[in-house]
Amino acid sequence: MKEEYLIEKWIRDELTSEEWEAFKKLDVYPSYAKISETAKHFRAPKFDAQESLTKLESDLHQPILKTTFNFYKIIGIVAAICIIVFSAVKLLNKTSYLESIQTQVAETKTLSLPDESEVNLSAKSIIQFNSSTWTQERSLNLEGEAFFKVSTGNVFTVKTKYGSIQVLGTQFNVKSRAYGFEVTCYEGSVKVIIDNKAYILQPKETVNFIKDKISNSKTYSSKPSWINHTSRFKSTSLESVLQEFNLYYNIKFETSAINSSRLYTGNFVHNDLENALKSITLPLKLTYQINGDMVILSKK
Amino acid sequence: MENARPLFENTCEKTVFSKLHERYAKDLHDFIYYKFGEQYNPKDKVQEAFMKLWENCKKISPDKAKSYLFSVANNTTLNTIKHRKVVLKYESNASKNNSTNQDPQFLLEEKEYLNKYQKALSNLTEEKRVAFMLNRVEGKKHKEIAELLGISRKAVEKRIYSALKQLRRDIDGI
Repeated sequence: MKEEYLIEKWIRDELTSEEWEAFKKLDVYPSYAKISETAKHFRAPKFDAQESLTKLESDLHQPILKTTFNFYKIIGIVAAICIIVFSAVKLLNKTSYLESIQTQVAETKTLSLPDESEVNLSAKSIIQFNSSTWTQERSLNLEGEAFFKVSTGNVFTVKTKYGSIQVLGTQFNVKSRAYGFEVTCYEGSVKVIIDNKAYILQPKETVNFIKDKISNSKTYSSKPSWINHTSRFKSTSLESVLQEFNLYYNIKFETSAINSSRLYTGNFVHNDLENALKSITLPLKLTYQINGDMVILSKK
Repeated sequence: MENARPLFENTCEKTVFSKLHERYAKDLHDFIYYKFGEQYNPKDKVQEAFMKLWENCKKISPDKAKSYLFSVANNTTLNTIKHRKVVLKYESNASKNNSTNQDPQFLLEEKEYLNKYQKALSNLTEEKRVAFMLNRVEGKKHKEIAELLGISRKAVEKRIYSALKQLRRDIDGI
């Protein structure tokens, strides 16, 4: 009989008595028999099932394990819901969520946009922009006046109720008031779009849009005057000048005794009321009288 | 028995749980011991596996419990292992009976043999060692081992046979 066959049968415990005799006669028998027998020396330590169960039951009776398990599970679910809702809101609001920055009377603000472009926001002004889509679309809404230093990149758009301004990277000032609209370029070049017509401005050039009339002018300063706390006017109606005045001083004008359509050329400072009033009234031969927050203008 | 339709949908019933423990705890312990050795606390692994089963009892039907227990115990042990050699402890006859009337030559030879045996066992693959020890030491039938490990009877026989041959080769140096 084959050796291999016998060993296999021995392993399976299926040897007949004759086969046993044959198996015992094999040369390898003592060796295998000893190996099989010696294995018992390496028996696993005694396992006390009863003790194990008792220990297990006492462990299981401590409710901590179960509750912490559920506790973490609930926290996990809550966290997952928060993340889903948050990202859904973020996604849905991508086009409608606007960040808005506002200044009060006599207040100015300097802010950095997400691309490190800089905006100087003048008094009584608002800008709105979408910070989440800023890298794809540099676009903001402006009401009031602001000076922009735009870092180079894709098109930068300023939208106002009169029209929009498009630049790539430059410095410019935008003034959007009830009485009109004015854009001045200080560096680079600026495209102003009013009524679907485009006007290209070179440095120191200004475009005005007042009462549906477009006019061009030149400036000699390198910054808008308001940055230096001064408002400068050239042949501007007194009515508009006083409106501008109200952006920097919290007062009301009484103008019934004067002709407010007269033109004014000059400037006034933003941080000294008496001084500013003199700057306006003296050239026009007017006087003023301060009465609380009311200023009465009259002829000399 | 293993083909019987389960009476219980899950293992949350205390009696079911105890039954499962009674039936599998020792086998689970031996399996982990022979596979990984003593250093990874086979008893703790058994506890852990049953705790896990209890935590998830709603999801696990009694007929799935066995394979669940074995994979949990196996995986938790594997997680703690940076693969080291498995050394099983032995108990020699000499130390068991304190009799001094044994031939010192014989004692020495036995000790040598056991040391060789120990080394040879370490050199077996986990699969072979588990099957071989469960069969030779714990006296489990091939069919039982096949069920515990979730493999065929043929595979069990093959593992035991090749374990034997390898042991003989290593110990007798043939």
